[in-house]
Amino acid sequence: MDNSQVIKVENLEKVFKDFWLRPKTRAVDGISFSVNKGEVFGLLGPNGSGKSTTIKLLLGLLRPTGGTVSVLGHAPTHTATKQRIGYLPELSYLYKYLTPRETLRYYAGLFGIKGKQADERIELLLSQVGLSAAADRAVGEFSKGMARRVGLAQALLNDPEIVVLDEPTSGLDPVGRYDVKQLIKQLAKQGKTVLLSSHLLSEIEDVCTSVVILSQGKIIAQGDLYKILAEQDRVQLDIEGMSLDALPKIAEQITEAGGKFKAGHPRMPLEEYFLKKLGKNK
Amino acid sequence: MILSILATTKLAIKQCFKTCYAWLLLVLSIFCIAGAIGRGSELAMVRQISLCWLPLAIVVIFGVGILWMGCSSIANDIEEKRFIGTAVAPVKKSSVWIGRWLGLVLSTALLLAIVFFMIGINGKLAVGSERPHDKLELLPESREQTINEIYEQMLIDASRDAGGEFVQNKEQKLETMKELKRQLSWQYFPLAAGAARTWDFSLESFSLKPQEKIYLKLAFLSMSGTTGGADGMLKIYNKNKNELVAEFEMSSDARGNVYYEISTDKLVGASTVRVVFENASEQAEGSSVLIGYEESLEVFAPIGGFWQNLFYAYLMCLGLLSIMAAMGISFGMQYSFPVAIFSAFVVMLMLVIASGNAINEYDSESSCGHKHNGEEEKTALYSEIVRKSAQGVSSAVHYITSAFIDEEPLSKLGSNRTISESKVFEWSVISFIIIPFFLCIIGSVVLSKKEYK
Repeated sequence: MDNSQVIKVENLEKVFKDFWLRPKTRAVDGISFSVNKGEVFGLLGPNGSGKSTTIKLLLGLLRPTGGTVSVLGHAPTHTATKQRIGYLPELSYLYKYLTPRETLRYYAGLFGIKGKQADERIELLLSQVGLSAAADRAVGEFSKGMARRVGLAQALLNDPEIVVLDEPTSGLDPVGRYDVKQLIKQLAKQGKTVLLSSHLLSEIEDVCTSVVILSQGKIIAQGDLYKILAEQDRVQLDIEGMSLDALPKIAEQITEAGGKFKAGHPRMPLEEYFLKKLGKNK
Repeated sequence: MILSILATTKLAIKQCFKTCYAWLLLVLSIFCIAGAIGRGSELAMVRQISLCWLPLAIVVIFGVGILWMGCSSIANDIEEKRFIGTAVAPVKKSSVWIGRWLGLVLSTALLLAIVFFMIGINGKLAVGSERPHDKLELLPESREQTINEIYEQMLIDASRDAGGEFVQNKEQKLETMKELKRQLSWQYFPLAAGAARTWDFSLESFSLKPQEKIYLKLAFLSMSGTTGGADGMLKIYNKNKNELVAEFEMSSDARGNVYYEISTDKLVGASTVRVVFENASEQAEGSSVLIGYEESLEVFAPIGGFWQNLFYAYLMCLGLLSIMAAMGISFGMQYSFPVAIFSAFVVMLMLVIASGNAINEYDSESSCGHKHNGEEEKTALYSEIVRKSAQGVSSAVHYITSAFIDEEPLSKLGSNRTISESKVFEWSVISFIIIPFFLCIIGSVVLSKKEYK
């Protein structure tokens, strides 16, 4: 395995069987891809395309019926490897009677993070996910979004090399979504590898550098996101501070060159506008 | 590994105390204790309820609770996908098992300690004024004639006196037998002048300490039928060391029940105390003394410490609950909660039934074993193999469960004997180490093979 490849999947296959062990669903059907170190990698696909199953196979929560998976050079069930992975499941499954602080303390214990170090890390993460004020309330009282934040803090507790996020923004409001995206970018800057699964295209587009698009358990497209999305027969000009008087001249030249164009003011995405109004967008 | 075990233990403890489990058990137990306070006017009754039936009832309540909690502990976490967070963490499955089990046992230990303490207070209040001594058991070998032999002889005599008729009349026979048994309990037997009678009493279930007292109560009849009145010597020995502990000279002035006080200094560690009564009357002119079969001599020794007994009983009950917790957790790792709880209950029930069968098999084997011959032997071969196999299995199960099925610890508490330390130790090793160890291996293997969809 290439040293830069932290996850390598080859011909991965998962067939779920019924009670009589007859094949019932082919959730993942012979997929192959690799994730490089420091990459923000997106798993994209509609509901039921096999994203979550692929992630569970990568984490050793499911056993493949075919193919191989290697995470940081080991099988996903390798105990020491798990120390270097953080995981946010598609829904935050938490103990309702614990507070966020107690929840994180429990997982800190499982990851072998001791006393003061654990306390510092927990406080930092609680403030990062915006739960410092609610740190001592039982999780059972939380909204879905708040529970999601606890899950996110839990995924980052062990300062992992690989962060696996399954639908990280589901249940979050636009501010929460923005915060998560910022966090993912921050993680990428720190050199961590992020594997992100989502069916929200804008989410993947905003943060991912590479993607795999799944449909019915098969890969239908994969590669560098920029290259995939680039339309080679179109050119985009983003002009700032030019007088509109200059537009006819430019239009004439484009027409002469055989091109077609539309002119107008660009529209800000609604999410950006919303965040701007809340003073969140920097 | 220790950190992860501790984290899981804390989680399990919180699970117990932040859900209704702990409080429900506590409330049910307090109801049990409250129900026993002031019941019956006789101390013995109160004592029996407090020291025997209450722990039994409470252990049953706790047993159901701990089995329920053990099964739901992991089964629900797996079913509601909370376990995924643990499954992706770098922990061994055995750590998860141990942590859950420890948490459950420690929570139960705390609750059970509160309940047992309350039972203790209740029991102590009830029996506090009572003499803190209990009667020693007379060892059978020290009897000159077994009670059955005496009874058989009396039955023959009665039959002869009735001209052999009463044997045909079932009702009359039963009535006679009843009367003979009543007479037997008061029967006295002569001890000739110059002769001696020896009684051996078991001290095995009493742990004597130095500078305590044991008491002898002697009652005998002179030949004229009056109580007391005989010259003689009463000697008390430590039978294990064959050492004289004390001797008392008796005079014909002694009347009624006579008590003698003996220091325990020379009896500490002894398993048998021997009492010898020598009729000191001159053989030629002296008179016989009538010695009762059971009642003429009784020995009382200090009972085992009340709190010590209660603590041992607590440990043994907790041991039983620890097995149930282990079983619940292992079943919960394999099955969904409803299946796990059903299976665990069935297995526990089977263990109890199998244990009873083992005892019955043992009894029937020892008392009425019979031989097959020829054809009978061939046709019986199959059933014999089945019977032997069943017996083997149930004996094994019996070995595991005998400590709490037979008599320990509850009946001992009721009879005020000291619970044997070795028995407590043996049961503790079995229930806190050996059985949980095997169940931990099974549970961990099952959990590591599990998939989390």
